[in-house]
Amino acid sequence: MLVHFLYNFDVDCQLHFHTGWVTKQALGVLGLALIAFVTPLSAADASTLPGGTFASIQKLPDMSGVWEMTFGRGGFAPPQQPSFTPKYAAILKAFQDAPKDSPMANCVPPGMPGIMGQPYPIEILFTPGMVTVIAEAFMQVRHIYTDGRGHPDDPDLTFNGHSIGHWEDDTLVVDSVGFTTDTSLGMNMGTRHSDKMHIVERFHLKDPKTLEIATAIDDPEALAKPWTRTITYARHSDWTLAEYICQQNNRNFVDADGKPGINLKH
Amino acid sequence: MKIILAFAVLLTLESAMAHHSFEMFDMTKVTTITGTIKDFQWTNPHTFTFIDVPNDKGGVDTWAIEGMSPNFLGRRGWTKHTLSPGDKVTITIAPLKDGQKGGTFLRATLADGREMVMFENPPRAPAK
Repeated sequence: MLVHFLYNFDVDCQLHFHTGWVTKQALGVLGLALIAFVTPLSAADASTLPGGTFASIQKLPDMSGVWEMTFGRGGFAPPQQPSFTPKYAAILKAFQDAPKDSPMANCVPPGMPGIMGQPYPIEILFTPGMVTVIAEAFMQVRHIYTDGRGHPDDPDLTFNGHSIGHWEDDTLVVDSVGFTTDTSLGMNMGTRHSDKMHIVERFHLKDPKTLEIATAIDDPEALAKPWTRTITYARHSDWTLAEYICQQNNRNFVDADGKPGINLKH
Repeated sequence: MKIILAFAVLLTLESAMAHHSFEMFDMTKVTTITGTIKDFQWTNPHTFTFIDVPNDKGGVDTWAIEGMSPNFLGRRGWTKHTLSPGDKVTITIAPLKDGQKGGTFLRATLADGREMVMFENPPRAPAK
């Protein structure tokens, strides 16, 4: 909490300073003094955490690199279905009675958790205080802060949420909140979640070439019990991520009623 | 048959949601067409193959076949040169439900006899 406060205070001071919001000179000097005092302290705190420095990253399990889900070869195990509350079960039933295609047909990214289960690789990067997951599909980026900060008290609701991580032995535990309800749980557009969705992912190397991410999703409004699943990814040392511009030649579309279409014109 | 099974497995997964559902295609049907490649669009989010296929009226129909993306195929032995205008090829598709001349690409036999599949698994290293 202290780190969180100091971080925000530090950023606030810098923002105010840079934008000239602080007009009174005395306050400006006070702000500068606080920056000088606060910055080394918060940096020191973050650097003591695993992955807080480049030297510390060297000691962590090496999950960096390019990975692809082993779909069709046990990538998902077990294939457990979510258990919905009555309200969200009714939403799923209505969808099953009148299926709709996904906004992904219009190149809208799936958000979490769907972005972690695409038929395209992900790349994991480690820098001090942060783990970055780049998803090739839709060219999405997830920033996982491992510098000790908490979640914002009132996060904006986004496709991939706000993620913080910490290490439990050799497992990276990632906690994410703050999701828009524009997205689904991933199987189809009938599996919905609320803005209370909370995702905990446990990144663990089964062996140097196999990454397992065990995901537990809870949502007091949508799920009767947490939905868990484990996705297995294979390391591809000789791959690089490729560009994915969905709008380049997208001939699929879905209209406002969820009806899909395709443009076959040459 | 092995290819179809692999495809069926793929479709049961969340990954089948990549970009769009396969609702438009009749995945229970397999149609084979033989003709001349007019254009092979090596683009995201899908490759599109346009192929001129002789019809029973003495003319040709241009079929449009949606395939997996360059990103996916480039890691499974395909390149932007795998299909070129003028190539005589046979393509197996799951056709569109609405009867339009199109479908989703399953596999192809090239002029030189090579068999190319859309959903090779596991993947391999991309062409350099």
